[in-house]
Amino acid sequence: MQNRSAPSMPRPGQGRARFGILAAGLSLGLLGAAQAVASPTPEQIAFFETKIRPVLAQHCYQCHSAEALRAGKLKASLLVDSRAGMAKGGESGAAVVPKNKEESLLLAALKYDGFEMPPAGKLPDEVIADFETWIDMGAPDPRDEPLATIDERTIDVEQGRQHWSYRRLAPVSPPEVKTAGWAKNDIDRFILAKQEEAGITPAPEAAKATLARRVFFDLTGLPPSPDELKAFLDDASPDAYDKLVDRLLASPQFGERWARHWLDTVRFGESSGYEFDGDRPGAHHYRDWVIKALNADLPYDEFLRMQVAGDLIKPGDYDATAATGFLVAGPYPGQVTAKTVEPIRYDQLDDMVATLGSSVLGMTIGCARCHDHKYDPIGHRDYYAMIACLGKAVQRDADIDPDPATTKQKRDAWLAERAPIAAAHERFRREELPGRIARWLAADAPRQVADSMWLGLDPQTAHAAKATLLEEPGDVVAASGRLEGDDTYTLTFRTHQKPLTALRLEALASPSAPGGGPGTGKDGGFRLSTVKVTAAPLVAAPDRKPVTPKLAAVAVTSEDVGFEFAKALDGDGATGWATVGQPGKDQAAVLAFDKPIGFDGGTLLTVELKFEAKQHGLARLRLAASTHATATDLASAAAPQAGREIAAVLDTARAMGRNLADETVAQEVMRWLARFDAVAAKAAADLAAIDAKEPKPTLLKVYAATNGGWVITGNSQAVRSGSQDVFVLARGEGGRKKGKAAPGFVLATIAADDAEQKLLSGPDATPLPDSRLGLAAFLTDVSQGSGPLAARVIVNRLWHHHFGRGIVATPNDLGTQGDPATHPELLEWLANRLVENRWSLKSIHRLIVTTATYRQSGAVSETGQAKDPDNKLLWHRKPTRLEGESIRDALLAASGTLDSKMYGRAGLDVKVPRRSVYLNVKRSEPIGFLQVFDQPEPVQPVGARGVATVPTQALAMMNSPFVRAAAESLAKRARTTLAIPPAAASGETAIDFCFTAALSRQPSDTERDKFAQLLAAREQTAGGDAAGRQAALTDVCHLIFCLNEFVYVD
Amino acid sequence: MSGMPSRIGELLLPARRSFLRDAGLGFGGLALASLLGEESRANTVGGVSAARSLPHHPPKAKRVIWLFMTGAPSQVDTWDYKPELQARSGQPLPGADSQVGFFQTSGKCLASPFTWAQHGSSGTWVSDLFPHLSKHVDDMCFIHSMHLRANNHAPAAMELMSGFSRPGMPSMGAWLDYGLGSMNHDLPSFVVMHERKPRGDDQIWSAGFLPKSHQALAIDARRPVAIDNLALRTGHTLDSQRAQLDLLAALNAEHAALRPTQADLAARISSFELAYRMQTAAPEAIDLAQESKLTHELYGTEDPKCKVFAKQCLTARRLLERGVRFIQIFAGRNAAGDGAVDDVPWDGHNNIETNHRECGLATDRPAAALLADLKARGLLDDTLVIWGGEFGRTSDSQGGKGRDHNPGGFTIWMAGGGVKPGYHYGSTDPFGYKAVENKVHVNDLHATLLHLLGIDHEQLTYRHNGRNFRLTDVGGHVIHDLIA
Repeated sequence: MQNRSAPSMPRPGQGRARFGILAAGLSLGLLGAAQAVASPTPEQIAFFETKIRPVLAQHCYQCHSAEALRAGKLKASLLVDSRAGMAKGGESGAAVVPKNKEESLLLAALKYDGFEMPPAGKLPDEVIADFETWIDMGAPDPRDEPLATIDERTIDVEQGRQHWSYRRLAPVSPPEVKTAGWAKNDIDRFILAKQEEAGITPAPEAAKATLARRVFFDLTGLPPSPDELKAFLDDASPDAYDKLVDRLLASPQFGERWARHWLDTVRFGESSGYEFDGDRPGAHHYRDWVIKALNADLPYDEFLRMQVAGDLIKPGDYDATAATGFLVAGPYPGQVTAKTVEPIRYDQLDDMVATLGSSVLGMTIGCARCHDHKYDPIGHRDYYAMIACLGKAVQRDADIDPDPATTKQKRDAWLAERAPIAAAHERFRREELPGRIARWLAADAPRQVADSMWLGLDPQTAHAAKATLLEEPGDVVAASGRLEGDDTYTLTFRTHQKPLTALRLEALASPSAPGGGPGTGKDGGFRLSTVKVTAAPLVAAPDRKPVTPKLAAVAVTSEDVGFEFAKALDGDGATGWATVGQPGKDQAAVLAFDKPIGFDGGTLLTVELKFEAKQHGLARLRLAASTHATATDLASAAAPQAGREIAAVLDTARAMGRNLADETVAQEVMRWLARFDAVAAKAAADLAAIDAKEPKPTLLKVYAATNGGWVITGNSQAVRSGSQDVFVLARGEGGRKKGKAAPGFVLATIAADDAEQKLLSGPDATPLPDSRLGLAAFLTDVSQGSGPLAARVIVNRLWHHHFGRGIVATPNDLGTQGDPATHPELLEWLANRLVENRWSLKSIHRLIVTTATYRQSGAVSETGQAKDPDNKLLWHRKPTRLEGESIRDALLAASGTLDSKMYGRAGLDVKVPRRSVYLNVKRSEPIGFLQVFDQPEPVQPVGARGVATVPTQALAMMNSPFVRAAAESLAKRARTTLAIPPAAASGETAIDFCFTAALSRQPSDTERDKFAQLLAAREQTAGGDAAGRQAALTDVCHLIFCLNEFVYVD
Repeated sequence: MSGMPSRIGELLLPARRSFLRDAGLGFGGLALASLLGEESRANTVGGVSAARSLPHHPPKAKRVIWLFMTGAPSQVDTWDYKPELQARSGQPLPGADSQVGFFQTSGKCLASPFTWAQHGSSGTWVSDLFPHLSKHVDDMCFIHSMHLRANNHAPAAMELMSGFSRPGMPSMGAWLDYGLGSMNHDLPSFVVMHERKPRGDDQIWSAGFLPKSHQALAIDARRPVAIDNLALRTGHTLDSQRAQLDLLAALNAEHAALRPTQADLAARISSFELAYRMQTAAPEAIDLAQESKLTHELYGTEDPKCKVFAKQCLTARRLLERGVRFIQIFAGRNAAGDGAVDDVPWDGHNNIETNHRECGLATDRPAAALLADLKARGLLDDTLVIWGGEFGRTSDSQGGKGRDHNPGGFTIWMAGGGVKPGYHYGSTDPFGYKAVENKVHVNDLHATLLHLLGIDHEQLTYRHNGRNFRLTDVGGHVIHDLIA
């Protein structure tokens, strides 16, 4: 294992063998130096020179010497080429402590004890023994050279605050320009001034059609429809363009277009990635929220606050919850064991903070996971302070009512409807019920079998996996329908009797069954393989937990050898109780619970009867329960349940000083009485009917962030860790905790050191209830926090997308390593405008796209080309290639098949004619058509997409069924719109139609001629029938889609 | 290098030149660079990074084929014979470390259930899983001391391919394409073959933050169509398409002439020509019907136990001959599907014997055939073959007969392409549990592989999010001992 230099990216736990990872607190080095042999003997020096120095020189100096330092190859800040260096040690402490083998890290390394040096292989045991001897003798070392100074970078926060993008916002005035009349707003003055300085003149304004196509794609991601185009071209008013811009900014397609840009920067995905790549069906709510927020021009600071802490700012609110999908959109491992839960948690936090850094702050904060940032003033401490703010945030699928106002409205209406019914019920309960109960009890008394040890169980529900179970008089449950066996019957009962000790199952003859019962087999056979009884409380209470008693066979009427009743209770589905050869004969069996069951407030009894291993079930059956200590009787009649239950409920109520005036008591009594008393039944039914209509909100599963412990659920196991504490990890490694991390921020981006506490406090200076709220404040606060930086980053992003390159060409990095700004004052001016305009992004869009700069043509001037070939000064407009999403959307739009439905999940099929932003982003299944056109992988924030030109794009345009289908639709649309008879040639008007739909302009005469020739040739080959005409025009449309002009916008 | 690809290149390159001339495009060298797919090569784009021209030194290997034993074979049941482990089955494993596996292991030694013998003049110990490959041990260069960090399949596969155990980083094939460009003119240079996708899916062979032009072409053995959009649509012929493409080129050339500052327009024109050629070249390249019966028999393309991998290996050889530079085959499910999920066939958690036996049958013969075939064609000298999984397995048992994941020590071997034949490097402890001698980290392996391909791993960089990235991140030492 080689000794690595400080990595600049997170690699937690990777090296087990670095000096740097040893406890940095070992500071015995200096003490050790003092104890070193003051004046070594010549023999000791000789020992060093012969046994030690050569080994150090050969195996260690390459990475741990002044020379290595000069060569930039020094590792772990450790120098072993001087005595002082050995004593001082490296990042982990002293390398050699004289006379102390235990504390001498060098020796441990040589022994490959925990970490391993030299990396190429362990040195021979004799050599290591020499080092032990040498340390024991006091580490005599004649190398007196002064210690080389290692530049151990410490962050100068004050100086860091002077970095241009970290400073507070400063007012900027637009420069004076010589050329009058060109500038349409102040932005143009910044641009023009630079051009004048360079001796370049801007290109003239683009043609109206060109401008329309540009601004349509730019603001909506779609081409203008022929009608829209015509309306704009026909509008001769001086503010025609401004009106168009306003209309496009107000269109719903604006949000769809610009949301996609934002989704790139936040590595948005709808699945978990890694192994399994589990779907996150609720993840699209975040995307929908972004679209909505951008369309509504939600102030950008609010936009950020919601994404970081929406769940805390507006708990339960759909939009605010959906917004927090931002934090948890990253890829997470799907397979987790106890060993990986902690590293995965730190990786999650890293994903959150790195995304936050890149997307909002334009900084590579992830680089500070293991050590101070190498170039930017971002401390290791800052990184952990930031993730401490996020320490409680975990992912969840929140059940959210997207429209609580409607829900409340519906509920109010329902309550109004319910009120008279509830009142009538109340009246019945008070005035009529007591008398009715008394009368019924008196009438029922003769039916009661006072001394029966069995209570007949009246089924509340009965259903089977296959058969249909129906209740017959006398508590009998009868099976019909699919009587094919291999079934499970589930029956539930309510009772207030307790303690229950036993159950009796009667398997009853059934004349209608194939074999006359009791089983559903042809010979009346059955095999009951498993019985499971569960008792749950009817009224929940902390001390009332559902129980599943163990069951024991007590008595049975008949059982076959090897198929005893006990076999149904042994938990083995392969064995069971059977009575073969006794068709039409009733059977019964009694089982006892290992512990009596029953709850105060009543018991819900669930009895599961399984007939597994393809064996037949029971045709008719009946269950009874007992409270007797030993219930064994197989044959005696059971007491009807209702009377006993009413008595039990009333007894219990009386004991608690309650009576029928109590609603729960009355309801439970009425439940039983209703089976015999029609008036009571109606009263109960009326209330039940209205209660059943209680409006329930349609809850959406929203994948979002919430505060909780670390619960990491994988497909195979869920692993939970109660801790929410975040520790500072030395070098980013889980094994090297350096104490709890306190919430805080990147110090260089806040106004002053004390701003950290201000941002973590509310208006009254008390600490905020959650540091994530502080983080939200930090990101957006202009006077104290990093608001100025956030403003600069976002206006630069807008500029990047409008012009194809940002004022800073690295939109995710406005740090010292990012590209220098081409127009720094303009960037500052725009950031100021954004804040002044209450963070309205649309106001900035409008400013930018209405400039003369934006409206230039692509005309190339010789001076421009000579003096600024990269067009950094924006002296003309370069054609830009559409993103994959826009190419796909443009195909759908031109072909007239685009479905403009908004929101939701459109799936993974490229052919679904929804806008591309709605297609699923499944990390393991990128949409081929989009991927080939540079759609970035949704794993890291992307600020500027690559634009590659590869043959697979051409193959997709030439041969993919998707593009062909679009061509076909456009051809059909042309012929239908122009009312061309089926067998007639398409003609030049059809070419013009298709051309305009795809390219927003009419073809030139030569172009029209060329396409007409192609069309004629194809019509000749394809034949003159309707299909042939259609196919020929489809070929023309297909070729138009393949033109560079279709995917490059001027 | 066989004659085939360069011949195609020679035939087509002048044709393209004249096409461009005829089309009236004045872009010259620029267009040619993009024709060769080199517009984003290390030397020209992200130019800040590439200090020296590539290759940095004469390469010993021109192409790589990586036989990825998905699911992770056990080192102590394949190539790393440990008599001590065999002798102490059931006894406590010295140094057993509960942090090594992914699940829970017993801490007790599990002897390899296979029969071991020495092979070749190198006397290499091989288990009887590999009756065919064992005949080639004298061509193999073993690293017995591989280790990495991740202890689950997807992260480890990403680590082995990209140096990082998380998604989003470019894999080695993409780095090579970025660094060295293409050796052919009608095929991609980075190809991945799989059946069921390995755990971690496309993220394993991702181009990460590199331009998308460097992404792999993935050939899914389960799909009837190997490459998307290659087939002409019904009713179209190459001739009719040619006529339309000529019109397209002419129109595009007029469009481009008016927009001289956008160089990509010319690249896009040529991309249609390249696509046109791919339509014929790619199906030809993967058409196994052109291979002799003898060759099919050698690889075992009819053997139900190994036919999937056999066809993949044979296809790979054809692609290598045609100038594809980097191919990875992810061994798919074994025929019996024993003991493991399809996407991690070698994952013998339950029963190492039955699982590895099936995986051996599924891969041994084709892999050996590939070595023999490459050698017979003179391609092995400059083709590097790599065999290995994403990590090793524990020397102690899991659930009695299985073995858990073990990233602490495992074996891979290489052959051809400038590595020492019949050579063993590094070792694990006497139980095969952890690499102890001459340990080789993934970064070291990558540094060495890049070196063999003529690249200084510290010089091949790409600037992304404010930092220059390397395949070897901040580590990696070339292991010269491995190089012939």
